[in-house]
Amino acid sequence: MGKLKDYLPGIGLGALVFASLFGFALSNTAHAQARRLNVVCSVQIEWCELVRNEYQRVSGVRMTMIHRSSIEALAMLLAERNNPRTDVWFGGTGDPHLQAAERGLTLEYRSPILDDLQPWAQAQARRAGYRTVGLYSGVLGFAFRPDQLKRIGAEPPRCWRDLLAEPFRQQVMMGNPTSSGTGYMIISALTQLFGEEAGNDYLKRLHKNVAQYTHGGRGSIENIVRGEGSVAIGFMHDAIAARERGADLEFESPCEGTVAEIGSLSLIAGAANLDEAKRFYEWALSAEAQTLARKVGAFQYPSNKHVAPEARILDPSQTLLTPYDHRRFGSSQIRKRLLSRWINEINVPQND
Amino acid sequence: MYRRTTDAAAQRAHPAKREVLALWRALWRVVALGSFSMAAAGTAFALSPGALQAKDSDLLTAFAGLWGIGEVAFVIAVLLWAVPVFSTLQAGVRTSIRVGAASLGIFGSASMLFSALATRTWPSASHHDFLVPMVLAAAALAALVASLGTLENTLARTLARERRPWRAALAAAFWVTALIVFIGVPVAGAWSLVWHRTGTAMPNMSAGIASLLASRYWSLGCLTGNGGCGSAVNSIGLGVIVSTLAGALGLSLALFVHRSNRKLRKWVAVLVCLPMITPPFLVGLGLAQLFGQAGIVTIVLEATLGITRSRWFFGGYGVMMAQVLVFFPLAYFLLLNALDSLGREQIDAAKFLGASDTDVLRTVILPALRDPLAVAMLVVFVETLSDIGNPLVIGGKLRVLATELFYSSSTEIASGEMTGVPALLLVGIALTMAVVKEYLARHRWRGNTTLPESRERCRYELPAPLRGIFGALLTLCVLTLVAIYALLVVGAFSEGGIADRSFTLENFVRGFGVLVAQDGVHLTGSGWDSLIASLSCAFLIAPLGGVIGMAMVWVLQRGGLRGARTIESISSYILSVPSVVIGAGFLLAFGRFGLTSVGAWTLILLAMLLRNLAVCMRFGGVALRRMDSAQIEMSGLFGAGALTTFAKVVAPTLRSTFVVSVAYGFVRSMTMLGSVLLLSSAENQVATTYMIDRIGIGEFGVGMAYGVVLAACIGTVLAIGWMVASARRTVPGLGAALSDLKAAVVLAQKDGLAR
Amino acid sequence: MLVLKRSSIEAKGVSLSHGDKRILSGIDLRIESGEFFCILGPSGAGKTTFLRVVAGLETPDSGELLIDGDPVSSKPPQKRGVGMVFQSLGLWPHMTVYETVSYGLVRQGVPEADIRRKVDFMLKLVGLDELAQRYPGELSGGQQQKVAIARALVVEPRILLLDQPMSALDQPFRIHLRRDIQSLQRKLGITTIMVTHDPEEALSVADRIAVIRDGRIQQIGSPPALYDYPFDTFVANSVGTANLIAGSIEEDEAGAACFYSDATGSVPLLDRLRVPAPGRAYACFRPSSVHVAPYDSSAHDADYLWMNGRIFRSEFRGGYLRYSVGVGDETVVCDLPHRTATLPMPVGSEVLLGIEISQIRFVNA
Repeated sequence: MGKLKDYLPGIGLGALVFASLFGFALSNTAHAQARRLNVVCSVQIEWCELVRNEYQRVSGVRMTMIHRSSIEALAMLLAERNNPRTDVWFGGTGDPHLQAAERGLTLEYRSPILDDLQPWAQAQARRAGYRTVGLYSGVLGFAFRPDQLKRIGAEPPRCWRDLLAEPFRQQVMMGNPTSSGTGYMIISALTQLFGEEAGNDYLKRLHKNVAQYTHGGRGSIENIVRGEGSVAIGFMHDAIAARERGADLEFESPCEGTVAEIGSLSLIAGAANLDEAKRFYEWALSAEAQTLARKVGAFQYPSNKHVAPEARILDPSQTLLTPYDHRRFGSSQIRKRLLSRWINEINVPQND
Repeated sequence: MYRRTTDAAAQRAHPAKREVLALWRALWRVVALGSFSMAAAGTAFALSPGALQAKDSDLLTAFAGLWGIGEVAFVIAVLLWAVPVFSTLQAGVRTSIRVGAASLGIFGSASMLFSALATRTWPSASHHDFLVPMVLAAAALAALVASLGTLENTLARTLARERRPWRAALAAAFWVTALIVFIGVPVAGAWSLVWHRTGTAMPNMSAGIASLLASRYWSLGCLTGNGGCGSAVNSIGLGVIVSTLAGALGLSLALFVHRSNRKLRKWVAVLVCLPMITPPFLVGLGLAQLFGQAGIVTIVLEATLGITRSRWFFGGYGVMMAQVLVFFPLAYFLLLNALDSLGREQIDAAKFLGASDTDVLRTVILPALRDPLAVAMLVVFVETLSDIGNPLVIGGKLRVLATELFYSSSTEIASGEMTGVPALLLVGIALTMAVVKEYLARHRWRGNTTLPESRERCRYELPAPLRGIFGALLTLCVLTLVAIYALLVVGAFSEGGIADRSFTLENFVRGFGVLVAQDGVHLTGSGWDSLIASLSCAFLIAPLGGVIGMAMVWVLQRGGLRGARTIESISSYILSVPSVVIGAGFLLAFGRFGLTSVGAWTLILLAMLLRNLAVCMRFGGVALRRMDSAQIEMSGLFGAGALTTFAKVVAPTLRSTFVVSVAYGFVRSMTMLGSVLLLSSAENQVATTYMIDRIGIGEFGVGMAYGVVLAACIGTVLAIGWMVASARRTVPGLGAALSDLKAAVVLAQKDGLAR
Repeated sequence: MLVLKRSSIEAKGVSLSHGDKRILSGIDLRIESGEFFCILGPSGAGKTTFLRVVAGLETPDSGELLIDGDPVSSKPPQKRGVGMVFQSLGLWPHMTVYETVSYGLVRQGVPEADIRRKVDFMLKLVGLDELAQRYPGELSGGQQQKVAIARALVVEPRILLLDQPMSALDQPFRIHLRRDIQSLQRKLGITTIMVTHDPEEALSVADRIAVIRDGRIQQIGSPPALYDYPFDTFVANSVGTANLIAGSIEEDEAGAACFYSDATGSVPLLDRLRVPAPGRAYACFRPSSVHVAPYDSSAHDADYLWMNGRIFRSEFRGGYLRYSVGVGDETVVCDLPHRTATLPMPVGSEVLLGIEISQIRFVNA
């Protein structure tokens, strides 16, 4: 077998490798003793950062903020379900929150100030068994630049069917339903408005006109602002935010009807810092916290009734809304089916 | 050799001692057998589709999935158990079988170790969680030691060129195992996804073939005008077109620059290298600034010629343009090198016999460049297959295999074969091209006599009309590249689209803001985490790869292992597998149980290390072979062991090669995207994934600002390294070393080990 | 059949510099038609450069080059009717032997049938007719050389230039190739200039040799002439091993010039025509002209120069023995034919060296 000392270098190296692996693992779990809070945030990053900075200032808690799209946040929570490292899920469109509730990933909790919230926010909480609550609302519609439309010789779209027109070939931007909550809302909205078969048929015909299925919902509006497309299907608040930044954007809600999302807030089941989480939850629902959002260009319609209204932020109830069957379209089965159909029947070469 | 001495020693020993020795041997065998069984089980486990597709994070349930493998895998597991058993008991088994058995043993133990690592953060609260991985790890270790024991014993006898041949055997086994585990397992995972459907044990051939030939991959609609083309058709078509264009461009520029003065060459080389040291999708982004619907050129064309703006750029055309610009340098350098090594006399002789410049080009130069050109085109082809950044950023609705794989892997809605098929197709195409390329690269002109070495370098002057055209082409290229990077810089400092620009530092503040407060410096920008992560990974991996690579090459070559060359060339085939497949495969194989942060970082580091190792081994191999073996023999003759010889004789000469390998590895690690994209999540972001993220949600400004910062970082590090290396004057025979380097770089590019 | 012209070449005062370095200084040469002319010199002497000037690949700064009396300085290589074989051959690895040899004819637009005829003839001439479809990588070094020569000759040049053709080959092949080249040249009668640094090569094949040093011609002459009557020590060393004894030219009591050195004593100069200038001089003689006998102090023939020495090295070279004999401070190399079954003289023995004075050349430098 050879002398032991011949093996010493190898043994030494192996020992070093294992020691470092151990150390790595150990340090990962060494916690600081300070008050901590881990939040996953699914709204725009400016709002997330505002929330973090403000709350840290107000409460003195050390907050780790992870920014993820609503779909990715759901996936993450699923993955770490047995050993959750997140405490609160802030924002993001409602369907993933409902699915999280359905799968038991979130905690049942009734806030004391639940009655201060708009009826739709309370309804959201009810349908999830109080495992989530409505945080904001936003209307789905079309955002476009009039000058760009003039260039491509298109009429401003007022209805869903207007988007199928020839001038819009390769000019429509929308989120990718598999990776963007906004995108999924679009296909579920169409399913609700026209029925599943007609909705799918519409999407098939729309596919030709789609320029790109953007990774995230907001990306579609950003592209329109830059002029890389002519019309985006997205949320009104994003369009308003872009307009505030100086873009020449207009927003229309479709004539056949549209839906409104309910951005939600959830506590994670098995959260390590539950008390801090609850305190943050209450703060997030408060009128003061929700008023801050508009400072950073987040123009979602807030859920707290006591937030002072503003002209820029449109009340969803002013538009023609089809009641969105959140429970149905929030269920993972329906979601799976709709998305599978989208992947296998709509996003295929034949429709290009 | 060792056994003989041990036997002899044993014979001479005291009877009691003999007993003890015999007992020790028997015990050793039992341990070996047991470990091998564990190793076999681990192998089967890692390969089993049940394990790979388990959605449950309960390890024991997954283990139970072992029994859903199917007869074939079970037979393999039994074989794996039987062969090492016999090889430890009997003397006459072939060396290759032993090496194979030992490798598989190591493989099994490594895969078990990895499953252990990837499963849990440890230590954690529950003992149950802690116990299983620990048991696995212990079993893995035992299997490892047993495998090594087998190797050492048998190979000591057959490979006795050095005093300690087991080092070579170890290195070989380690490398082969690493390849099997980290490439083989992901590919096996993809394979199983295609043929197995969830829940069934037996492969479903018809369903598998149907999914491989599905129209979403192979539809030819874009040619018939009826819809679009499938992703495989697009990938291959793009590859063919881009490689042809890049080859032609590289050839023209090489022919033009070849005759020029040193200064022009240097400047062209620097400029042309830019796309290589920055992430490739930045070029796409820059081109979008020029030719997108809101691009400068588009707007100007509309204003002057009245051509309406359109999105023609986003899609096949844009990706094609970007990829040609990013990858033509590979062809350029290869061809320039080949052109420079053409002998002067070949051209003079032709001229003497009345050939005009055009004749010389047609009859002498182009035929001589035929093989380097083919190799270059193949390299570019494989690169376009692996490029995922450009299709994501400027592809619009373009389907390519890389993006299909990415989208399927990142959502759990997609069924297994939607991940498996693109992965398999990518691997298949890439491997075919790699084999063809390796064959071509080895090709010598018929016969094996070498022609006399030419004294003077070739100086070929292009005929005048061609000189004009190629010169114009070069200018166009240079201008485009300059424009792209200038626009990126401009974009970094501005807000809004092209039409309405306003100077702002907002992008940099958002990404890299720094706050100096009383309690120290806060890095408030959102990009710092990923940048620091990238830099740390690169700084860790680059030297590690260099050291390990060189050491392994050294050990393989000097240990007299038969087939060291074969191992090297097989490595290069295997490493031509596109990195997206590696990423997807890692995710499938090791991440289905839920990737912890530790696990994810480990896998990201591994992906980088693997790429790095292959390149460094190539560099080191070439440099080592060019070294005068007499130097090494002399050192050995004076009694120095392998390690001393390496440290005192080989390492100083290889220092420049080492520096270049480290630099190369650094740049690759910083700009790598494919494998990391799937493994990264919000915590485990590296620079490139963060940029893609930003660009994906429409924040082009921040993305471009990041690009500028990244390029500055890489450039600074390279410049510092260059200054340090040249200031220390530690490189003897710089001229010879540099030519070694050039040859090695060309070889590595030939291998397409660029990304 | 190939009809080869033969031309004469004349160089008048050809000079060439590369930057500051003078490569050729005032070369004056005349090469007769049909002559096998060799340029011999150490590396860096400028011989390849001169060849390239004749070929037209380099342009001289000054001087004239005439081929058959016509100045050719302005003509490009293709128009001069010169065939060249480069040192590294310049063979094209991707072309067969046939394609390589026919290259020049194809460029000239010669009809296919004529090409075939000429190429076949040439290949037969050099002995490569079996190998017409092979690639250069499949040929031996000597065969590759022949391909290069065939390629140069098939276009019927009037001058053939060979740049160190044997340098890439090993010893036995050199001799074979040398003989082949010589017989080829004799058969075709073409004016040939060969450049080499190997004196043995030059001596065995050339009609005349020019010894070149630092861009200047030192001496031109036939091989025996250079070997027996070198002008100076450089030429003497260039064409073979030479014994050089340093001394001086002085006047003896009778007023006649004589050579004096410590080793030789005073030696009268017989050849009145070639009396070197007074001052430093060398006695130069070849190893083959030395007689070696065991030491004997008796009187000796006055036609000979006698020296006493001691053998300090003996090299057995097969056909002859080379003794290095120390005479005083000098070393004298002597070659003695070896008779079968005789033993060499032992090292350390005292010997008497005798050199016929008529065989000694006295040179100044």
